[in-house]
Amino acid sequence: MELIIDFFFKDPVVRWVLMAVILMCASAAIVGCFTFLRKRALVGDAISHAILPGICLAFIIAQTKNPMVLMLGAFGSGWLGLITIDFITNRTKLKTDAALGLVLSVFYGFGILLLTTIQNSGNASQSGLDKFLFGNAAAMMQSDAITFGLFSLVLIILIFILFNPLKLVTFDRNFAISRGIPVKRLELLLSVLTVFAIAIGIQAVGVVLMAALLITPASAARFWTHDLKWMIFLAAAFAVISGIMGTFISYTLPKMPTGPWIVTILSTIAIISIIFGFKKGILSKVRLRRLNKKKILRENILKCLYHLGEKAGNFDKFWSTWEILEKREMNKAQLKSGLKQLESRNLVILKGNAAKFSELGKEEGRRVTKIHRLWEIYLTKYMKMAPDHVHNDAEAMEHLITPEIEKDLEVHLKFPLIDPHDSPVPYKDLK
Amino acid sequence: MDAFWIILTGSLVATCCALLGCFLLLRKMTMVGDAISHAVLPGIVLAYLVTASRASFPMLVGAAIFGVITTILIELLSKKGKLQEDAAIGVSFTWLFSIGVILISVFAGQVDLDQDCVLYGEIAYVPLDTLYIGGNNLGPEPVWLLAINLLIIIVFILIGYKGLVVTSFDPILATSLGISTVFWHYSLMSLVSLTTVFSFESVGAIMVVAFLIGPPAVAYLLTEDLKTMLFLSVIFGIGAALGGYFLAVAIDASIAGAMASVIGVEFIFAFIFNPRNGILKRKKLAA
Amino acid sequence: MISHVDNPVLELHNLTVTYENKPAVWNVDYTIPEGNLIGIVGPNGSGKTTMLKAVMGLEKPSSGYVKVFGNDLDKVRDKVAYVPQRGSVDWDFPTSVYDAVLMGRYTKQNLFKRTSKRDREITNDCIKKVQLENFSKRQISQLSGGQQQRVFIARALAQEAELYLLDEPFAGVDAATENAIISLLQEMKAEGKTIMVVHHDLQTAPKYFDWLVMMNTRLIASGKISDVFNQELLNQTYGGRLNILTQVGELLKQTSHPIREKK
Repeated sequence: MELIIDFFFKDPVVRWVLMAVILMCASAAIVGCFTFLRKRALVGDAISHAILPGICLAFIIAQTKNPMVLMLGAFGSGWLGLITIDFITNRTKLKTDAALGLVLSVFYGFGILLLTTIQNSGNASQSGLDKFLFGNAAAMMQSDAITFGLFSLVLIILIFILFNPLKLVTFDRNFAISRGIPVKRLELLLSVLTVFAIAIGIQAVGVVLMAALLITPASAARFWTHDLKWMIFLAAAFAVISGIMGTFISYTLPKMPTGPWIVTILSTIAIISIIFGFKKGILSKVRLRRLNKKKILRENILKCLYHLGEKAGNFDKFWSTWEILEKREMNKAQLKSGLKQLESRNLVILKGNAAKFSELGKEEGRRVTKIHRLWEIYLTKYMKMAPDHVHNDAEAMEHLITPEIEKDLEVHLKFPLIDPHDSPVPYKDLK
Repeated sequence: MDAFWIILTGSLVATCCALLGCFLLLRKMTMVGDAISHAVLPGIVLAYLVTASRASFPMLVGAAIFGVITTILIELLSKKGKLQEDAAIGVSFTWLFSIGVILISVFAGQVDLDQDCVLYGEIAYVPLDTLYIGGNNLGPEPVWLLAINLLIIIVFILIGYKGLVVTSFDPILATSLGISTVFWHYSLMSLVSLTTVFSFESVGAIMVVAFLIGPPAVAYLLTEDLKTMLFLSVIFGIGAALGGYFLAVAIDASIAGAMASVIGVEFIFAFIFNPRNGILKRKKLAA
Repeated sequence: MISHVDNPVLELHNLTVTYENKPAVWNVDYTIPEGNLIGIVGPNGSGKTTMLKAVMGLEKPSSGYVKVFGNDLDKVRDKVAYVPQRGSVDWDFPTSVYDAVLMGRYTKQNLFKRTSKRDREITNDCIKKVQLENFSKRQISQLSGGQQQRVFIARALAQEAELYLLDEPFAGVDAATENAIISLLQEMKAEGKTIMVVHHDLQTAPKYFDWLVMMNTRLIASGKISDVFNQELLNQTYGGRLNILTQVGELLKQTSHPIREKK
């Protein structure tokens, strides 16, 4: 606890560093949302590796570790990497994946070559260049922190100003062209911003894992929302949380590299999102499937009761469970649980082992039966299916069709009176 | 003698990678290869922890498991999670790789592995890792392991050539003929993870990718025949290993980094001189 | 208008195939007679390719089944050949015409064996049948669109099947190639083979085919060309989707509702 207070409030340098990390992570995540939606996630990976030789070259030429100079080198070689990828895919038969892999590994290898020559040359001021490999935000100097923080802030503001056109270019390029929006220039700008965000972001997570800072927040956010604004907000929030925690860990344990911790925390958030996300998450699908199953069970019992009532000409009769089971094959335990659910919804009245419709239940049973028969008619008439083939399909669709579609069906079929198996279509008013 | 062992190791890595890389390239799966090469790291570290030795059998098992976990994770994220595939690849391997790096930092005292090794390998130390059997010096252990690995790959390609080719060229046809694309996919990926593990010590986790993609890409530009492509990619891979060694010695730099740089140079040449649309061809057409 | 036949070569029974729970092929149910040249027509995105893929086991049906020669596909796989759309493979793949056609001879059983003399002979014969004998050693990347299509057809011929399924073999080929292909298909028909072709040109359809399957997600018609090739059925096929069906399809996708009740 004391450590946490120390971390946030005691050291003024840390405060600046933290500010910078927050802004760096947020800007990378925001730019990453666009990269993600334009399906160029791995381009970010290639560019971040391609930045390494630029940093080393800038150092060799200028013999300084001034962050502005190194940033310039980083941006230059990142940009060159990007152009090379496009060049290879356009001018050779190599496909995008190979172009990405080639640029990524060769640029990176060349960077390592330069880095090791610098290190082996015994230049005293070199120490620290290898920080760019895994990042070490906690060790940032105050002046550097301010510089990077400011750059990130500019980047974020730029995106907010251009939010609407950028959104349009990302979602519907052709429409954007047709509206006279300068798509080419905006895409160029987006690329510039991406390389820029990467060049800044490697301070925190390093070239090797930078891709995660672009891709993972966007991937995680995608599972919670469909709205771009919210997606950007969530992605930035996830990245910032991870950034703070990662920096905190490497502040308290100086041997720990910042980048891997940020990425691990970020990935954990992403995995949680994929499982629990309420728009697209795996759990939401499982839940939906269970709800569907329960609804189907209930409606099947109601329909069965309706059929029994129809046959007996009496809808107010109690039917024992075995009579129901005789009419319709199902698991006994399932039937019991279904009847319980129906009772709690006031659709059936239970008495011992027997059940009968409530008024509400009878209406529901009639509705399901009616949809079933209407759909059978529709299938024979419009899907041209043989009458002996339509039952299974109707069995499933009767639980799905909404009142609106039900109405459309009635009108479309001109209120038919009997289904393909000569059973009457039970309309409300006719009863 | 050291130079000989280093070049031999480099050539073996290059040959293994080139042969498998050709098929990755043709299947448009090079980035999956990239992902696997990163993601085996936690497996390697865990195995180090358990056995406290390098290049051992548990390490293979550990890494192979993580290699397969990566492929499954990518499948799971893209199929079940409905995440687009490139993002699924990116999320999975960065996650596993960062866990690997953290493990290295946490157990820094107990594991004879450091971040440098992960980043660019320690091929220069390969000759020190001598294998003794019954008191006889048999040369460096990694060389033996890589040789065995190469043997497995060659046998696999010789026996499975038809299956590999048909599932790479037209998976739809393969499936309609009753040939399992899944089997060939996972066989190839298992061999890629195996190769990554064996190459890891020499060139690090990232530069394996240079060897997996580079020489096959160079060969792909120069020929339109698969067997020639396999042959050429091996030649260019070994060429890069040789050239890289001497370059590294000349300027006192990382040998693996130099090898990757030579691959880049090879690619530039292949690009200029390739028969289909290289610059020379364009000039000839213009003339 | 859906004509059913006895002892069909191919039977689709209430076949439904979904993408993300939305039906792309919906309750399609027809039978195909032996020894005919059959056209499959319908607008873009009407599920023709999906249907063929389901027949070949490349897409898993959500409900219904397919019988080929009265059997499950796995039992009669060597009697069926499938020619996918030309664009489904990468023609930069480093292989020759001969090697590409030879792939038609691959089976589960001979995958690890050497190519037999018979396989080589059949391959050469099939290359001759599509008039590519002078291109046999050529790399496939150097072929024209029409020649690439002929490689695909030669490969299917090499399978020596009884039932052939061709997905848009005339897309992007020149008139000469189209004529060559159609006369080849007619020759095959004369030998008693059954050939199903996804086709786009309604002008040539009555000239080429004996039997027509018309679909637009659902089946519109299946029968002798003289019975089904009329304005009314064409209007139904190309006259847009049914409003109610589209609504239900969307609903299925949104609710992840099962397409069939599980017992």
